[in-house]
Amino acid sequence: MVDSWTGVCTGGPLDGIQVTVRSDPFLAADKAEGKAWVYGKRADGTFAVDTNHDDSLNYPQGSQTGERSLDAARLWQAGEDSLLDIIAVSAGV
Amino acid sequence: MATLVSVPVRSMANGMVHDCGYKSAVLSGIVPNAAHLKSGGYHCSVNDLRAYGNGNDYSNTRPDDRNWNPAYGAAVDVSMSKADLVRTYGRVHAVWADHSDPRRKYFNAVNVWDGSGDATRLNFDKNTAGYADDSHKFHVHAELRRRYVLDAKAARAMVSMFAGDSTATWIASEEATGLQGDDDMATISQTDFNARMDAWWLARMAPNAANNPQRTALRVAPWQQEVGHTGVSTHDQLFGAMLALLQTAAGQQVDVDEDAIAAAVLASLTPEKIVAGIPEGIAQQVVDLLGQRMQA
Repeated sequence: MVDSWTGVCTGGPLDGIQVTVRSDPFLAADKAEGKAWVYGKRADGTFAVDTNHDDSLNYPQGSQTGERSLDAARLWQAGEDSLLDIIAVSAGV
Repeated sequence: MATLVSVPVRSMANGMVHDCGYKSAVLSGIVPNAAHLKSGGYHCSVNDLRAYGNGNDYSNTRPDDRNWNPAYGAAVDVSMSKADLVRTYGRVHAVWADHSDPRRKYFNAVNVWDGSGDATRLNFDKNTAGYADDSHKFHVHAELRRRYVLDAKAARAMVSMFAGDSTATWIASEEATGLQGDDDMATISQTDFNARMDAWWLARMAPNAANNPQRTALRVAPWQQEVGHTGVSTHDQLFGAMLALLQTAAGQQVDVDEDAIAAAVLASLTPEKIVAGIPEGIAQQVVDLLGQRMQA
């Protein structure tokens, strides 16, 4: 049995959704939109989206949404290496 | 130690992510992480199983697994949206449930989710459907039997299953590949060859098969197919244009003076010209004989 963690997410595209993941932190990836979010486990057992990074390229006005641009090559490498669990999110799919 | 990713397994992962119609799919695991190394299983190579004390675990026990290709991992994880996971479940379950499907021999198990209740581990070796942990409500886990991790056909079989190909489509696509260079095609019987081609044809012509210009063209009866890019069918060419040409030719009146042609031909025939067309060894005899007859 591989280690896993279950918790409800706050913020970002997984807000309010309970997930079971194999790494902490983990990545939420929207392939169609080319966007990604990093979630980390908090002391209360929930997963919170990480807004502590500069996403000014996506939001020049300065919003801190946690949204990052998705680099397909890096996403593939992260997946192949199994070091960061990835949850696929895609509206309407 | 380390677990290597074989070319077929990487190709399989790429196909599962990009070529099967799952818009949300992203790769989420091939080589083992620390947790995999601790617990064992198909993400780990046999070498890594041994190095971490799991050399005899469930993934290295059966004949098609035991110590085969010891440097390579044999599992791929693909994360998907719920809708794509449900779609995957239907496609994988169809192959798992059909014990005659030839793709099954390459697979050990696939962990999938039908969208409700627990995720399921569909075991192709034992023909069982068991429990899979909740992380499989977010990703599909697919295992090849270890003996096939260097086999490109096994990788194609997995992608074919994930793409939802029917058994007939899988067989036909492999036969098409074989015709381009697979030696085993040269040894099959004519009956077997015909059966395979029939399967290929039926798969391509199935009413529910995806359409494309090539298939549309094939669906037209041969005699109705267009001749090149002329906009004219074979049928019209034969029974339309060609028939008109034949009728025109048949209706023509040719005025021929047979006597005049014969006289002209005979006038050109001199003994010298006749001799020129005769083998050298008997030429003199012919000249003598002709001379005697002309004098007579």
